[in-house]
Amino acid sequence: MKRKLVSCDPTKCNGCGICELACSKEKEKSFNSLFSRIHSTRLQSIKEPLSSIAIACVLCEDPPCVKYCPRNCLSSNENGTIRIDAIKCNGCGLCVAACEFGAISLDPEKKTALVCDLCNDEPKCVELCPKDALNFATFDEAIQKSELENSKLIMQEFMEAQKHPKTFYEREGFLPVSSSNIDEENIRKMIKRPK
Amino acid sequence: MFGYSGKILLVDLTAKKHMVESVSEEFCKKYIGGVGFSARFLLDYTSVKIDPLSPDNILTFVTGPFTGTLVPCSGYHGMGAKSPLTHFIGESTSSSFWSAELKRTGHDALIIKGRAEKPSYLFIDDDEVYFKDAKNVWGKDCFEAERLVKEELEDVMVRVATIGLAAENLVPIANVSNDGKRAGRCGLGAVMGSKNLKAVALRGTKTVNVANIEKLTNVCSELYEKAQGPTTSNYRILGTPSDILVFNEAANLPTRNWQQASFEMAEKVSGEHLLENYVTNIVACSSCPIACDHNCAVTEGPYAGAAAIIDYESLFALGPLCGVGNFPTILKAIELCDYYGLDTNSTGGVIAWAMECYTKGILSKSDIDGLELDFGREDAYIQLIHKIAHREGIGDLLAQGSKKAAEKIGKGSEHFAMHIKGLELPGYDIRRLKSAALGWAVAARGGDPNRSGAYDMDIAGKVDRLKAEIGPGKTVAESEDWVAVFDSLILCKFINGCFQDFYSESSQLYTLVTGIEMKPSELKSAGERIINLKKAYNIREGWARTDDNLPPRVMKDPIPDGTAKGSLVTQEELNLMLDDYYKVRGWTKQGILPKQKLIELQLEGLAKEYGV
Repeated sequence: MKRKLVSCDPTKCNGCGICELACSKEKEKSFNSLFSRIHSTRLQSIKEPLSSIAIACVLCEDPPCVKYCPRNCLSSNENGTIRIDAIKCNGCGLCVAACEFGAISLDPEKKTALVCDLCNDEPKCVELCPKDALNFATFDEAIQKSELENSKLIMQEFMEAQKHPKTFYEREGFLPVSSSNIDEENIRKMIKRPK
Repeated sequence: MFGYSGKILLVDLTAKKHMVESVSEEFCKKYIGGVGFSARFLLDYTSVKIDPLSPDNILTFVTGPFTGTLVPCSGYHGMGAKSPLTHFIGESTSSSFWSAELKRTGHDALIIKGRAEKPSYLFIDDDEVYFKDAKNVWGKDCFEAERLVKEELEDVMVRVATIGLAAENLVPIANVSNDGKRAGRCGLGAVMGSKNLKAVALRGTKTVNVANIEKLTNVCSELYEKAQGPTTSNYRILGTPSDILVFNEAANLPTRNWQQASFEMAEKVSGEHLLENYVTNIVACSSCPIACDHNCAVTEGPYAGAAAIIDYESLFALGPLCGVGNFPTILKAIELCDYYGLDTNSTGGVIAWAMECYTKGILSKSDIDGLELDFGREDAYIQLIHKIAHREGIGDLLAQGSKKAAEKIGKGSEHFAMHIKGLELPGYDIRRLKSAALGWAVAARGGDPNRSGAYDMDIAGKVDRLKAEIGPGKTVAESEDWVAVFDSLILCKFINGCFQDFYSESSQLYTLVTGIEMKPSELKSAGERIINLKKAYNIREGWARTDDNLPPRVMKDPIPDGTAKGSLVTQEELNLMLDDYYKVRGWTKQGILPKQKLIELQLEGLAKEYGV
């Protein structure tokens, strides 16, 4: 079975953030984009042409988030989604740092990792996206449109702007792992691109 | 509460204190939110006849019940203060992510009073309020200030509303900018500047709960689909500049300070031309399924590197109105206005007035710092924008807006100072749109298309647009109520075409979001209530029937050519329409509010104070 993921076409995405609210609605029954498993991002260099993109889990074959979790709370499901053991997870944020796509975030209340589970293969963000920028597509389809590459480039630039991923979880007032714990070099080595 | 957070944050900059007040469900249902709340706050929290730039004035930022939800085009906030430009009620709306972030800090509204001792900015981190020293951002342009505040707070995800240099210099046509959008009109930026407040940064992590999320999502989903249909295609494809050619054809495009109603270079500034040559990408505000913001950039020539979001009013005011048909120059001018935080519409308006003064010999070359200011003189008009923002030389006069500038210069220049109540007119030639002319004349905040949608009726041919007769009063009153509801919920007016029956569909949305029962008729009367509130504020500030007026040119100089040749709105016609309008509103012949009317609208307190 070919794995399918939520991929975004940056030429259609205009950063309205409806996908985030759709996700928050589906998973939490309320509106708060901080609970969203998909992240709508606009590269806000303000004067430069703005790039918009939404990013959800890309289902890496050898997921660095799983490898890097010090408590073994993360594992891969057969369809490629990441299963999170919410009881063991203590919100250390290493998986957030490990994800090159910025697809994992932390639940601001429960302080556990949040990641896209594809809504039983009926992703609600895809359903609600008004511009059909989101697709439930296979890797090949996503790569063909260079959506994945674009996502990553934009995300990396975004993270750079935020002085790397810490902002993703620090902004919620978590006690962050000290950044010295995160060995970026190591994380990068472990990352294997999706085919 | 659902939809609303039920809390208002009051910040006193003088005392460096803040407090939270709750609002009741009854209050919410009565005034909806947005400009409705704002008008009520202005009546309640300011005293009579204050100096708009004194610490006694308040500055409001208000979301609506829909903000931060899936409701399409709901990422909006309204701003209010006593306007330094009109000295009547000042209000303006802006959109995008700042609005939703304010809601997520757990507050429906933010009211700022007093004046900070030294340049400061506010950081609202959910329930915490920090008064920050703005020494590193004061004097910076809007974009740079936004960036620096984010850097200082070490979080690029905070949302920042900021003022530019113009507002710091208390220019009464200065605006407030957020996420590249702005609350432009009525000089609210100057009010913020007078408070020594450079920026308001927000970090909201709270959840917006709604009453019936499943059904709401379904209704919104249907609206998203409709929003990809024909009623929004102009906004989506060409953006608001799509109006240029349509208006030009209909002799509805004020040109060279309203001396003409069509522009021979319209083609060069049309939405079609822009899309082909300058548009780089299109972005949306939060929760918007339409996406109308067209970013334009110039890559070659003297203005290479200029970039800005283009909308019709900016384009018209700094283009045809000033006789400028070279788009790269217009884009540079818009960029400069954004940079300094100037309202493009008022800036273009006052420059066009100065250009006409120059061509008529009322202002000489030496009066305007040696500039040659013929219509279309691009170098001079770019210079003027710098001068206005810095209040330097002639810029100090122009910075005060057309009304005050014309009063100072005199010599007949009042005749072509194109403002109503001091607010520069937008880009619709109302000489051929009679009911729109009435709508603008009576609008509480001054000449403005966004406070009365009456031009829709004209353009759609629902009334005889070339003839003033008994009847437009009802059209205007209804459209004002309708706009007041839009600006209070708050919804972007571009979604309007997706509703078949606005009041019943939006009251359904209201109930789904808030859980508060709302009949369509109740929503409509809330609109009427809000219009009466604004009117009461103006009456309190000394409004008289003579303030509901049109510029002399609209009443005396007919459109010289084109399909609407000969059109104007005479004083007699205006008087006739005003009588009709006041009667429909249930006001006195002098436009004053009768006690009975206010009581009918459940405004008993106001009835006691201002009713006759």
